[in-house]
Amino acid sequence: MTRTEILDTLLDVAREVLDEDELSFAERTRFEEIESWDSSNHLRMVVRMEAALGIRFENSDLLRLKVVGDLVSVIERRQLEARSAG
Amino acid sequence: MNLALAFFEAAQASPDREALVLPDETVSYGELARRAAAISSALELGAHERTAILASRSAVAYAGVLGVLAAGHAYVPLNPSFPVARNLAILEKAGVSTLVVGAEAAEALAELLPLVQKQLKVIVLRGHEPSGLSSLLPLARFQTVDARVAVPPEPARVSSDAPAYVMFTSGSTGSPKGVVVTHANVQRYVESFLSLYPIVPEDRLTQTFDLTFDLSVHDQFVCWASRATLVVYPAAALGSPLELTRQARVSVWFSVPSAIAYLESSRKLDDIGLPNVRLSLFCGEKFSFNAWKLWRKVAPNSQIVNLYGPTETTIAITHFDVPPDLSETAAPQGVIPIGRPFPGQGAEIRRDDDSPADVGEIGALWLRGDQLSAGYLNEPALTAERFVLREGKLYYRTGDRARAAPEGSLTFFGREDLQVKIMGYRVELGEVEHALRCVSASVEAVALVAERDGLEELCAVLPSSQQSRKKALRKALETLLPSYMRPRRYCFVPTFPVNASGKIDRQALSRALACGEIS
Repeated sequence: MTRTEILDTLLDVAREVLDEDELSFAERTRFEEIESWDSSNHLRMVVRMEAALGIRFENSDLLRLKVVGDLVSVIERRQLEARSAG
Repeated sequence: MNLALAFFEAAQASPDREALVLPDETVSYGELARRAAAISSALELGAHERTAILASRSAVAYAGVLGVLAAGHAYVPLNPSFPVARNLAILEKAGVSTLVVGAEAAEALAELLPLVQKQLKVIVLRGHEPSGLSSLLPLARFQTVDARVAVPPEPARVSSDAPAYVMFTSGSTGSPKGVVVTHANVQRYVESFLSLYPIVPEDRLTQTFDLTFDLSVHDQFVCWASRATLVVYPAAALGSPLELTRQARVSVWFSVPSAIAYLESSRKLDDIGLPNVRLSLFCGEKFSFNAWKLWRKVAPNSQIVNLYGPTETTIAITHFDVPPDLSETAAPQGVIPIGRPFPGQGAEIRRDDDSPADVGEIGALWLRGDQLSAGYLNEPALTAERFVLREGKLYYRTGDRARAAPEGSLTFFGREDLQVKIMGYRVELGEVEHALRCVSASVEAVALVAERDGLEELCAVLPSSQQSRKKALRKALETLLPSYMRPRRYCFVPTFPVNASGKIDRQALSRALACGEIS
């Protein structure tokens, strides 16, 4: 998946999880700028992203995320690892 | 005896001890006492008034609590992140005429003051002034107090039934209700707790609960009565608190149980864990067997205690020491028992006709003892409904359902009414529905708790005619309810299912939500 495709998937999942049909964000968007992206919705996002992308986040992956692009990078890395392991 | 007395005695005996560890400063007992004294000096001593505190777990918040109590007033906590309408409703219901404000509450104060009918006195601590204060000067009588010149006071003498705080909780009729808790109530709790779970001056305790949540009263007064240190977790650290817990050498942990599930699901648990935590307390909602098992791994050297108690019976009234070898069969329906009442307090299970239930029978949980609060502020009918005299004893009817095991230990089995817990916060679904009806102008509106991705969340169910207004409704609700009371998800139905008596069938709606029939 390209970064754009990952971002599109993230957006689809976020619109469903956050119950916001018109939600939009970009790689540079900070998480605190996304109005309803709070701690419990963050959890739901993690669970849904793992299911949607067939990856498993590690503890350390999610500790220092600041902008959406950081999450895209983590997903990109985990997908690469999953492919090389498979 | 004044609840604040133990703190000021500790401050006099050991002024250099650390009282508070905040993100940007460490405050000694002596310094906190001076700040409290400065605030107290601006209040008329022993006037039995109610004074509000608009601050969020900052240095001013704790000094405010101590200063207000030292003056003999009851404190009324507000939260700067609450909608202004809610803070205003609390101020008016509590009849507050004085407000202590923290620097972090500048925006909330600017929103609040133009709406207050009578002119308030606003106390500000020098060095902690909210920004933009000069533009607000015409709206209130401001008094800036200076801790550098303050002398720690002799706390005002108060009678045992004098109110220490008024804590507002969600009200089923649409507006919050204030529970009046006395100095004697809290002192009794603190004594009972410490007799069973002693805290030593070397202990460092977590402070994660907002001041509008009565578990924060435990944090402060159990800590200061023991001359220990309170470690304040900033909001940003609440999501991943393990690092701060280790860095700050915390030995006593206290949170809602959902913090454990949250830590696990968000992958915030690590292999290091919390080996230095010696006592872990959980309260505020159901404590699941699975969460307990997980915490045993996180804090392997810790005694784990499940506490239970409504605000109306002061912080917590029952306790259960979870044995390290607890088997799943000892946790009915996967829930850790809430245990037995603290010394001198009582708990009884009653049937629908008020007669005592048998051992093992699920019934209504009634509580008694001197931790029973003074009832609801200016709500005599509601107080009489919940606080009842039977056989010459005063009971608080909790609305919780529970069962007693043969050895006396209690287990919680849900509610009799529409009260739910969201991350430990009490939410009356009736209040959420009232707000939904106000903003949607629709007669029918239902609030429910539903599970999604393994986590419980509040859902609103509204008529399909409202579907196009979802965004506007969400926005409008932000002005009425604090974030923990706002629905996460909005669902729409062409017609509401009704039961045999013609009322909306909530169970049918819950089932439809759970299996995705409505969305």
